[in-house]
Amino acid sequence: MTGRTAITAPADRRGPGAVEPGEERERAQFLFSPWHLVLIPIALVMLIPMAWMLVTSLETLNEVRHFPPTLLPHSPRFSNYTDVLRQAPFARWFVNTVIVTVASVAGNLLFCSLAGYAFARIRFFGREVVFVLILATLMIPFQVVMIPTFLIVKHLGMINTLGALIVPNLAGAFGVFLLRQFFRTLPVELEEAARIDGASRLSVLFKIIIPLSGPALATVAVITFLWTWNDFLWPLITIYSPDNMTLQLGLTTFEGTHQTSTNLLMAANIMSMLPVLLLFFLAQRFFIRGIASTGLKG
Amino acid sequence: MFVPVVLSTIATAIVFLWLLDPTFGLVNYLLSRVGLGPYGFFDSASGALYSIVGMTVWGWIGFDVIVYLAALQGIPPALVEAAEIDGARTWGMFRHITLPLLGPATLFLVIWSSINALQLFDEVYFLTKGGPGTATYVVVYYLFSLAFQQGVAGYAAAIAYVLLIATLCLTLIQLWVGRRLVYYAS
Repeated sequence: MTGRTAITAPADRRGPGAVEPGEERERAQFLFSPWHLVLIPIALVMLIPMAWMLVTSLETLNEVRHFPPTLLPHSPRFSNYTDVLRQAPFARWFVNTVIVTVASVAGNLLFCSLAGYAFARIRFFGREVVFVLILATLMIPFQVVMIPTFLIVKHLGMINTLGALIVPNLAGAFGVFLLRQFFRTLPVELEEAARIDGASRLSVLFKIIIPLSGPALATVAVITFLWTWNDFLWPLITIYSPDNMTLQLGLTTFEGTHQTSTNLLMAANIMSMLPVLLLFFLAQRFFIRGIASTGLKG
Repeated sequence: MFVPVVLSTIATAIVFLWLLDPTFGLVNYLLSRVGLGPYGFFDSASGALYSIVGMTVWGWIGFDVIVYLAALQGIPPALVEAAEIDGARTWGMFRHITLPLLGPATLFLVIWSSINALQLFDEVYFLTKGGPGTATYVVVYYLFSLAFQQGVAGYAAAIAYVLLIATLCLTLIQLWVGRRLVYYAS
């Protein structure tokens, strides 16, 4: 679902006419300025860890454990990647993570749309109070409510199942808030016309509102995806058998058992990042907007 | 630049653990080239703490850049032109036009980074387990180890409340400073 909304959305575009004439001239000539002395080292610091990870993942173990370090592998060893897939329950972790992420994204899109629409359009007793309460939970860090959430999930009997990872993530205050704000900007007349034609609330939501809300839904999807895919603390406390682990949790186990084969660890690490990176480059606009609006990380 | 922001903290930590490896790590190799000995980054209390700090900065800086970039693009050209006509040089322009107009963004980033730093956990769990000794114990790691390793859930829940109060205080500071000291252009 995420993929579809992301791909059909128009590509990332810079605002036209944002560049000052002077700036443009400078860029066209591409002169060396003293600023480059500051910017190039910063760029290197940002880049080197990633490049080094890639290099290590393509080396043989001998090259990895060579001092001084081998800067370029003799011949790139792509078999490291297939080795990872064969050795650890890596494929299993990958599938688990995909299941959890897809379910969470789908759940968030559905439930946050329903709630957001109710808060935006339907008048009912206590609407504002409930909405403010939901907003207030945005201020509470997850770590604060972690213990009670754990106890609830435990009473539901879902500890050490994928359900423990999915169910608490099915809806979130952020999605409700963002969609409510977006739905309010849509013209009411469209809905009224449909209602007069006999459409129910639900079919108004699914046939009129949702098709118009692509960007907002994509933002919610991207944020949920990123959060679920990268989450570590919650899986750590709810999952203990290797078969039900997610990638982030699995990677730490993998690090423990393969401490010496750094090349495999780096290959595993890159594979765990690939979906995020892929989606990031496809839907950069939504990532940046989503992250800028929540400051979500870690 | 922005890519580290979307990576998980565990993935980042794995990369840095390897970069900072005492025997085969790239960083120690570069240090040895300039005559500094191999350094066990996670062996000393301050080394471990600042390694985690550096890694966190690496992971988050892209976010700060995006926010500042948006803020810089939001500076009205009319103000810049007016200052130019009044004879402002580069430094004066930065000090009196750019910096004040970046106030809201700066305040937001300071508060957000503080709140995020209070929630630090993954790196500590993965890299140091709070060690050496208790040098890298952070709030959430303490909470985690009490509730899920030592089974003292009540005390851990109390810590969670302290964390909540600290977060709320930061938000209040943001509101207060925002009203008093920060200039909002619009």
